[in-house]
Amino acid sequence: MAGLIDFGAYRFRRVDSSPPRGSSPVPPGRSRASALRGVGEENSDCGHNVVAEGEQGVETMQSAILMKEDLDRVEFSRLAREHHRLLLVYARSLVRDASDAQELVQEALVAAWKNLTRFDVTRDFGSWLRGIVRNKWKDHCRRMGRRPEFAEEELGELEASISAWEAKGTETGAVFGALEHCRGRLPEAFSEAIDTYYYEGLSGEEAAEKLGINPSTMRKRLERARTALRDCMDQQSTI
Amino acid sequence: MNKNDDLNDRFMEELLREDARGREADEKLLAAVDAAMGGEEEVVNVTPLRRERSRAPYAWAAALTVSAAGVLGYMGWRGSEERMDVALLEPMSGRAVLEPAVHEAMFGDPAVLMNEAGQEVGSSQMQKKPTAPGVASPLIVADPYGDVESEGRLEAKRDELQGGLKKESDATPGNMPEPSKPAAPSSSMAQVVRGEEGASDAAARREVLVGEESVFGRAPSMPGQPEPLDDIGGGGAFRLDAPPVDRERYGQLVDQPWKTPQLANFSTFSVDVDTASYTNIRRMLQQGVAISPDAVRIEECINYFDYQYPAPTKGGPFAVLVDVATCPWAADHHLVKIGLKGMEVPEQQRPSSNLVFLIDVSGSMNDSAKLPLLVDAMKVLVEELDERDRVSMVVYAGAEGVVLNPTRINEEGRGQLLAALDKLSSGGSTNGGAGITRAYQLAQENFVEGGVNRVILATDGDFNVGTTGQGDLVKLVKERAQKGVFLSVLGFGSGNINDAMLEAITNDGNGNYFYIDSQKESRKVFLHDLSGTLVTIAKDVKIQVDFNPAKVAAYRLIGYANRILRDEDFNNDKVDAGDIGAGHTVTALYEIVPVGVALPPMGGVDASKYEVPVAKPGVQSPEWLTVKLRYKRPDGDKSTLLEVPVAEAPVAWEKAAGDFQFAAGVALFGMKLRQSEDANDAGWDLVRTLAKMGSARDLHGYRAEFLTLVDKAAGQERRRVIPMPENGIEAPPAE
Repeated sequence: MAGLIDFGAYRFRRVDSSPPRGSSPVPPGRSRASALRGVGEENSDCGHNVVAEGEQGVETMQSAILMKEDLDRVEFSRLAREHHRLLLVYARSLVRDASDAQELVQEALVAAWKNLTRFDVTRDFGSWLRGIVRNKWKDHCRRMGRRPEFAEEELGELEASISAWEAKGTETGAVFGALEHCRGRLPEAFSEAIDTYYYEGLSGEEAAEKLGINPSTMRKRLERARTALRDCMDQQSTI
Repeated sequence: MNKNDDLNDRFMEELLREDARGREADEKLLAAVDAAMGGEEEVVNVTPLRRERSRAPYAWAAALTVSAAGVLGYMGWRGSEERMDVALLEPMSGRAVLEPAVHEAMFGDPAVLMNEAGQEVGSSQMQKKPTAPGVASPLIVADPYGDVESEGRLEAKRDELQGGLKKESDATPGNMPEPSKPAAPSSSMAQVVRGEEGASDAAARREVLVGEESVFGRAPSMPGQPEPLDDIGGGGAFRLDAPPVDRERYGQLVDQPWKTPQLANFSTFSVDVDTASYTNIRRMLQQGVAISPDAVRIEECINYFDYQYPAPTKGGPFAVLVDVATCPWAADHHLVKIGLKGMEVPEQQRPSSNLVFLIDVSGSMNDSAKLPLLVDAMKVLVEELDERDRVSMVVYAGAEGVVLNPTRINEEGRGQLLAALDKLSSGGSTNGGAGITRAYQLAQENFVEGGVNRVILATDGDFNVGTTGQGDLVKLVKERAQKGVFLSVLGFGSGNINDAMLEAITNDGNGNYFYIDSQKESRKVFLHDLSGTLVTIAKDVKIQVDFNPAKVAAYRLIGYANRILRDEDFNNDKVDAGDIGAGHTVTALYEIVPVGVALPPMGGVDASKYEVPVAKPGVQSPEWLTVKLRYKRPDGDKSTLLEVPVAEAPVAWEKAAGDFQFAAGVALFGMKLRQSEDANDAGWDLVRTLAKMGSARDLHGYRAEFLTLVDKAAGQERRRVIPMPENGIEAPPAE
């Protein structure tokens, strides 16, 4: 797909002002196969009619419309795929509950898609998405009748860190990459603690037992290891 | 400050957990987002049931009633919740046939259940989600960290944990503050991912591979490419509910990049004899549907066709034939074709068989391109069977049932089988999981030593497998394959075929996968090639190519994007790979750049500041490469090694054998459909030329048909390059 139009991963926007696909009764792009069924091979000049997007029931135009929509969609889906895991991490650190976090991320991604026109191309896409997650989280808190647990300042601080980690890497998954790098640099005692607890999935007690340390030492060590990891990642991103 | 309240620390904690979970994408979440992107509702509505197994209408009724504002939606949700109690009970009773191990895997698997939570996220009724144990329980039980609980519960749990820790520490005051060195913790991703329950070994292996691949860098043509292999094979991408839209699902494929023997001597992959991708593409081209690049598995297109490779003579199960010619689409490059030919088993000598048909009769099969075609395909097969064979038939929809007990196919049995086929009708929702377990049970009970023992699953793939995930299904299928019961999957229909899922469960030596789009295709699979379809002559067939750096500057494996193995897996007999049926041919192509020719763009990483690049001299040898091949006998568990050194001077492709030209043509066809950069300079005319030159011998007319597809694909591309609309997607602003 990318071969057709060369838009960079973070640099595209939808220019038409109407929300995507509005309320067309047969939203194009929704059912590729069925929309095209019965559209013969002959409609070779349908591309000219692309500007007619939004017009309804014009079957023969659909393949051309699909092309554009699909490109846009494909690119967005790709971005969603690229970002969703970090967004889940982010949302879980806001709400703890994994399924709530998933809802937040899903709502945020859908909202992002519906508001792509409002994406400022000069900004970082991941950061924009996290902003939407934050908004959804605040809505969520409001609905639950709770005050947001974290202050703007704290949120801003974390956002700055994540943006920096992301900016450091050129590849997708830069934050995970930074984490991996820093795990490799942890002092052995820390890295053992992290490995047994997080990566081998042992409980706190089991991990402590395996390492032959006191559970409270274990907990402390994990805390310090996380701090060390974060410091390392911060350092990495400033080099 | 209490660390638990520190957002930064929480983030690190979650990041570690996510990382430990592996690189799997949350396919459910992505699918839900994708579904919602097409919808008009402001808020996404996916069924809120966690364990709901069916794609029953009420889930959608519930989902659709959920409008952004509440009352109706709330009731819909409540309704679903109540039904969920039923759904929760149902698997228990319906699953009596499950073996304990499977049962445990199904219910005790955090990874899978997390995926299910992905399904659950669709509910917009976050605030209304009760914390009643009955609803949240699957996750709470499953998640080893407890981080899925509601905050209140979490607090309680945290206190409990801390209390527990404290108590224990009180009780053991004499503990050493420093750890005595334990067994080395498994810190590598490999072990972690492997250890994760539910993730199939294969998936894990691929994931690990990603990490390794990324050292090399991906093809530079893929900006913003998502994490590559996490989704290959479809990673859990089957749904528990059905969005009311046609969607065909393909795992994402990332082509093998150019590599240099200076850094990577070996290229290792598992054979693939499936042909489904080609049939599916043919259907799409014939319907005029745009083809998703991820639907194109080039090796399956190449392997759809028969090639005249010499049969093995020395009693081994295969012969290997390697050809070297110039590369038709890149003048300076060479193309190396590796051809495998499996030993033929004449129909008369076909061993007796024990077949279990497992037939999807769920509502989604109610389509003229599905059930009737399925019945027709099965009848073709039945006509080819005889007294040597026994057939049983299991259907599954809402519940599974045996509709034909093991029946010997003599005249009477044939009549019974045909009558049972005629009685099939579709309806109800799908529960593939119980059906497949039942089918395997029947196959095991009627096991024929030294014969063909095979479950033949016919479906549109739009099923869920009880409460379990794809990983468990793959595991089940793989375990049974080790015991000698193989699987064939017949995929039917269009619109919602879950190609990724069907392919994934037959990957890695679990069986073969055919996509049946027509009566003609049924005949190819069951009539012309019955022995090949039924009789496995070798399993876990792996190929490793060792490139000579003195002769080869760079190489690229064409296709096999989701069949790549780690180099060290080649010698590891525990790692599964593909099977080869009697008489089957398998073809793989490498594009190579001889030393002295400009390298293609390789992408990749910067050179290390601390390392002096040293060119590997390589030994003086006229050989380009050595093809190494490992396989096991169908009932064996030790592999045999074959080695074929290749030193031939390349011939001009115009003079190469017809099969070479044809295979190259199909490869280029696939590359173009996948919009591969390496095919940029080649036009459809070249595809046509290659295919024509290679079609001199065309027994069943398959090659002629391919030529018509080339024309269709070329036509489709012409239409696609019509200028994009002005108001479409703006060109990226200059930086």
